[in-house]
Amino acid sequence: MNGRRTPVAGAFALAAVLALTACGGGAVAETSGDGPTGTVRFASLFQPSSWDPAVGDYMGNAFYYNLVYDTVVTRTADGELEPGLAESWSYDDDQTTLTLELRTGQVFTDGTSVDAAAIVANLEHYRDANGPGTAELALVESIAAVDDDTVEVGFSAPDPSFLEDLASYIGYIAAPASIEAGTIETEPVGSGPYVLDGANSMSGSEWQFAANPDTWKDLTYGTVIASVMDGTAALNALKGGQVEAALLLDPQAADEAESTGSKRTVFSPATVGIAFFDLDGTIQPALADVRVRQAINHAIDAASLIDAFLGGVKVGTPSRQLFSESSDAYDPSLDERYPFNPDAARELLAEAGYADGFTLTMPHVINWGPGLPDAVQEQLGAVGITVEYDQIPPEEVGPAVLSGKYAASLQSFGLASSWMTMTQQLDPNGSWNPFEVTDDEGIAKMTDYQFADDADRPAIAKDLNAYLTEQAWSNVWAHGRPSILSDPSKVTMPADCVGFPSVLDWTPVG
Amino acid sequence: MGKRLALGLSMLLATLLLGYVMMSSLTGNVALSILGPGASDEQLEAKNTELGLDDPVLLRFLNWLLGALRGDLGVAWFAPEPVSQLVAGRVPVTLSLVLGAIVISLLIAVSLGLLAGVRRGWVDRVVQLVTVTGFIIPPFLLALALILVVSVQLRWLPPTGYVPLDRDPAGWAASLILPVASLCLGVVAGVTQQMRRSVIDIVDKDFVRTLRSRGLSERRIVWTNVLKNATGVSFQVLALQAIGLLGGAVIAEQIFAMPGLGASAISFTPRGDLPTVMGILLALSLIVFAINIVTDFVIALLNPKVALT
Repeated sequence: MNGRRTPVAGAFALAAVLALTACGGGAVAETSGDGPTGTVRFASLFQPSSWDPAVGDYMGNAFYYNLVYDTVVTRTADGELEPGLAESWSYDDDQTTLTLELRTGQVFTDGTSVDAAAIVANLEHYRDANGPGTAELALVESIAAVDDDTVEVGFSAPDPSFLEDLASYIGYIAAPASIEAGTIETEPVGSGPYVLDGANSMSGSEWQFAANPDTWKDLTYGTVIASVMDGTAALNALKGGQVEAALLLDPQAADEAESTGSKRTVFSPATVGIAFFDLDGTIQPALADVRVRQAINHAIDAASLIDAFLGGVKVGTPSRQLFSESSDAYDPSLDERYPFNPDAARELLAEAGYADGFTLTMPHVINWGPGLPDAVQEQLGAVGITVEYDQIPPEEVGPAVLSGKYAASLQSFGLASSWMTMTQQLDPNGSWNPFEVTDDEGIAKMTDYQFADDADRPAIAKDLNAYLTEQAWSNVWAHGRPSILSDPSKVTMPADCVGFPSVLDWTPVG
Repeated sequence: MGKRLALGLSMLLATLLLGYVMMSSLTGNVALSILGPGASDEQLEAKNTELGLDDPVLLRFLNWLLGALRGDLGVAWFAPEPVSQLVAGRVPVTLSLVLGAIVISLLIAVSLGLLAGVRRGWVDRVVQLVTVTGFIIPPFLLALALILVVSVQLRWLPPTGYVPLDRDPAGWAASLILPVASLCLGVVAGVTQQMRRSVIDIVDKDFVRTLRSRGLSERRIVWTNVLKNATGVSFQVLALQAIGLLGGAVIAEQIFAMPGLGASAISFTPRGDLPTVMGILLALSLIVFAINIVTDFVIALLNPKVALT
C-alpha cells in the first residue's frame, strides 16, 4: 500500500472547496485576427496569495492562476481531460511511466519558449517548494526531458489522479527564469490567456488582466477584472451593476441574487454531512459498530437540513455517497440506501447494544448556518443519541479534526477524482483518516483500482463505493455546491462545472 | 512636549509588543492553511521553520522591530507582495476616509454648532433633534441604507470599491462620498453638541459683553472671538472622534469593499498573517500617534494659555 496524502479541497467548510481546481477553457483559437475587446468584472472573495503556484495557499488562487498560466492538461466543465500545454499523453503498460508530448511554438511572456525543460523545471519546483502541490508528487521518482517537446515522468507505483493534478495543483507552468530568480512570487510570468496588468491593479482591491496576444486559446474578453470583496459587498456590487458576476458562497446571498434576476452557476461539489473518523472506536466505541453508523444515517433527515440551512437542492444534490457525480465510482442507486427512518435507527441501535443511546461529542461548526448544529442535535436526540458540542473557535475546528481529536464532526469533503476520495478516506495516512483506520477489504479494493487498467477501473470504483456506503463510512447528506451568480443580460455562463468555471467559458451577451 | 513624545513612543512600543504576542497565538494553523489538510507532519514542520515560527516570541518580536526600523516588514504570507508595499498601498485609502470625514464633519458641525449657539430658539431645537438622531443611527446601518438607495436603486454612485486619487480624481471623490457620509453622522453629532455648548458659554462671557458694548458688530464677534475660543474645545473632541473614526473606517471599508488598513486587518488577522497584521498595526499606531501630536499642537496654537508640557 502506498501511503499518500492528498491535498483536498473542502477542508474546513463549504467555502473551502475552491481549491486549485478549475475547468474548461481548452478551445483553440480558429483565427488570429483582432482579439476581443470587452471587459468582464468578477467579484471574488479571494485575492491571490502568491503568484508562485507552487507555494500559493491551496484556497482561492485557482481563478487567478488560470488567467496567467497555462496548465499541462485542461479539464472541461464536466470533468473530461483535454490537451493543455501537453497535446497528448500516454502511460506504459504498468502505468509507471507517463510520456507527455507538448504543443509546440508556445512562449512565455518573457519571450522564452515553453519546452520540455520548462515543464521539468516547474514539476521539480512543485516537488521541492513545500507547497500544496508537493504531496501530489509523492509517487514521482523521475522527471526528465526526452527532447524539446517530450517529457517523461517515472512513478514508483501508479498514480490514478496524476493527470488530473496536471490540470490543477501541479499543472500551472511558469517561466523557469522567474522561478530561479524568485520574482515569480510577486510577478507572474506565464503563457496563459491573460497577462497581469500591474499598473491598473491594486492588491486587495482590484486585479486587472489584459489578453495575451500570443495565447493559443480562444478568448471572449479583452480585459478581465477581479474585485476582491466580502459576500455582502459582492451581492451589492452585482445588484448595483458594478460587476457581471460574483462568487457568493452564502446560500442566502445567492438566493437573494437569484430572486433579483441573476443566473446561478454551481461548481466544485463537496460533500456535506457528518463524517465519522473513529471507525475503530478508539475514543467513541459505539462508532466501531456498523449498525450504529447506519442508525445515524437513518436518523438524520438530510432533505430537511438541506432545505432549511444549505440553500436547498438548487445548490446541492441529495446524496449518500462519498464519491463525486462526475467520478467513475458514482452509482445513483446508492443514494436510496438510507431513507429517513427514526424507527429503523432505534432498532439498529438496540441491536448494537445501545438501546439507551450514547453521547457523541463533536466540535461546534456554525458556517453552514447557525441553527444547523441544533437541528442535528435534535434529530439524533430523537433516537437516543446525545450530541454534545465543544465550542472551539472556527479556525481551530479543522486542525482539531485533522489531528484526531474528535470521533465525528460536521464536515465537508471536496469531491474530485475517485482516487483522491479513496486515498483521503481509506489510506491509513489519508488526510481524512486521522485515526489511521485500516479497513483491509476497502484497501484491497483500492489497491486493485490503483493497478488496474483504465477499462477496469470504473467497475472496481463502483464496487468500493457500494462497500463504503454499506459500511456507513460517513453520513453524507448531499453534495453541496458553491455558486457564482451572474447578470444574464451581460454575460452567459455555464450552468454547472466540476471545478471553478473558467473565464474562457464566459461569453458576453450582444 | 519632550515628555509627551516619550510617553507616546513608549505607548507605541507597548502596543506593538502586545499586538505581536496576541497575533502569535493565531499563527498555529498558518502552515496548515497554506499547505491544505493533505500536508504531512514533516511538511507542516518544514513550513513552520520556513516562516520562522520555531523561535521564542520575544526574540521574533525584537527581530521584527529591528527589521521595521530598517523599513523591512517582511513579505506577506497571504498576499503576493512585501508588507511595506501592501501597507503603503492601503494607508491612502484609510486616510482619505478619515481625513475626508474629519473635514466634512468639521465644516458641518462648526456651522451647525455656531448657528444653534448664536441663534438659539427653534433653530437650536432643530439642530439638537438632528444631532440626537445622528447619535442613534448606527453607521453600518446608514451605510447599508445608502448602498441600497443610492447605488442599487438609483445607481448614482458605485456601491463598492476605491479609485486612487492619482489615477482619477473624480472617480476617487465618487468612491468616497457614500463611505464618508456614513462615517460623518456620528462625528457631526458629537462635535456639534460640543460646539454649541462652547458657543453658548462664550456668548454669555464678560469679554463678549465688553466687545458688544464697544460697538463691535455681532457678526464680527462671532466670526473671530467666539469661533476661535469655541473651536479649541471642539477640536479636542474632534481628535478623540478621529481616533474613533479609525474604528469606524474598519467597518466602512468592509461594507464598501475598500482596500484600506481596516478591511485588511479583518481579512488577514483570522488567517494568522503575522507580518501583514503587524505592518497594519504599525501604520494605524503611527496614525493615532500623529493625530495626538497634531491635536496638542493645534490646541496650543488656538489657546496660548494651554502650556505644552
